[in-house]
Amino acid sequence: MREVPRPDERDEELQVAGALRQLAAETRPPHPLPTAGQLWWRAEVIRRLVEKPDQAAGRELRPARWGEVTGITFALVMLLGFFSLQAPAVLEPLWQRMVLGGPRTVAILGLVPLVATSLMGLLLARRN
Amino acid sequence: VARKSLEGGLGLDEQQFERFHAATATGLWAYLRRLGGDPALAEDILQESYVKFLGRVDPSSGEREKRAYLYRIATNLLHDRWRRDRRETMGLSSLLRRWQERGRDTDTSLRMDLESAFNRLEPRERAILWLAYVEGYEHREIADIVGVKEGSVRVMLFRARKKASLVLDRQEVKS
Repeated sequence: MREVPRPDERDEELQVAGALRQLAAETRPPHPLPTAGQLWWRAEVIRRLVEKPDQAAGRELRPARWGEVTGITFALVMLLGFFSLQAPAVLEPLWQRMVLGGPRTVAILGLVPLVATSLMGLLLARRN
Repeated sequence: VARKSLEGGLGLDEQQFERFHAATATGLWAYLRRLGGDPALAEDILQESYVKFLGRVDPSSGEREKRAYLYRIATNLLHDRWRRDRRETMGLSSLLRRWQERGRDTDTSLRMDLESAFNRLEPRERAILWLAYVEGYEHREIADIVGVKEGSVRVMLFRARKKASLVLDRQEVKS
């Protein structure tokens, strides 16, 4: 909020404001200034050039990232399928020597760290 | 048809910017010219200011806020340029002296009188006077543009006005 000046200040204000406005009215560019279109396009080009590299890279790498996630999921499903079908036969001799229970338990115990690390990897990849 | 910026792009589309530019360009150039003392520098800073403004402006802000934001960018850019010039060449005070001398050398018309009176003020005083009396900004807005407290603007404006009035009186007496 601008204060209302005292009467003696009022003349001073009018004098200075008048002089400045006159000076402003007489201050004209010697030649035409750059047009709005030129400036807008310059700003747009600069924006595209200096756009944060990680944003651009993120956009470019999005399909590859999805492919990676799909591939890992597919591999995990295949691995689980294979183990659930083949584990009893593979682990049969092992089970005979161990006291851990049936071959299925051994297979599940073997899979737990694999699944845990895969899930952790997936989560970390998504966070990054 | 207005061209729009790509996803996540500039604050204003081309048509909106054209209107804003038409309303502000000449005034901003005059402000920079009188504050900086050099037409080429004024044009340079003007371009840089608009480019920065477009990249950062909040599209939802009002016209007056947008305008004040543009002036803040321009004022900061001019200060940066002064700082750089001072480091690189001779110093702000001698630059100011040069402009003042140039003004005095050519004191032949009323325009030159006003110009030289204005050039005798400190850069910040010039900025505050111009923003208050030519652009019509409130103290709060000037404080935001120039980067000082609102209370300081009141005091600085009072002093600058006194100084300017004194210089103008002297010139009237001389002529």
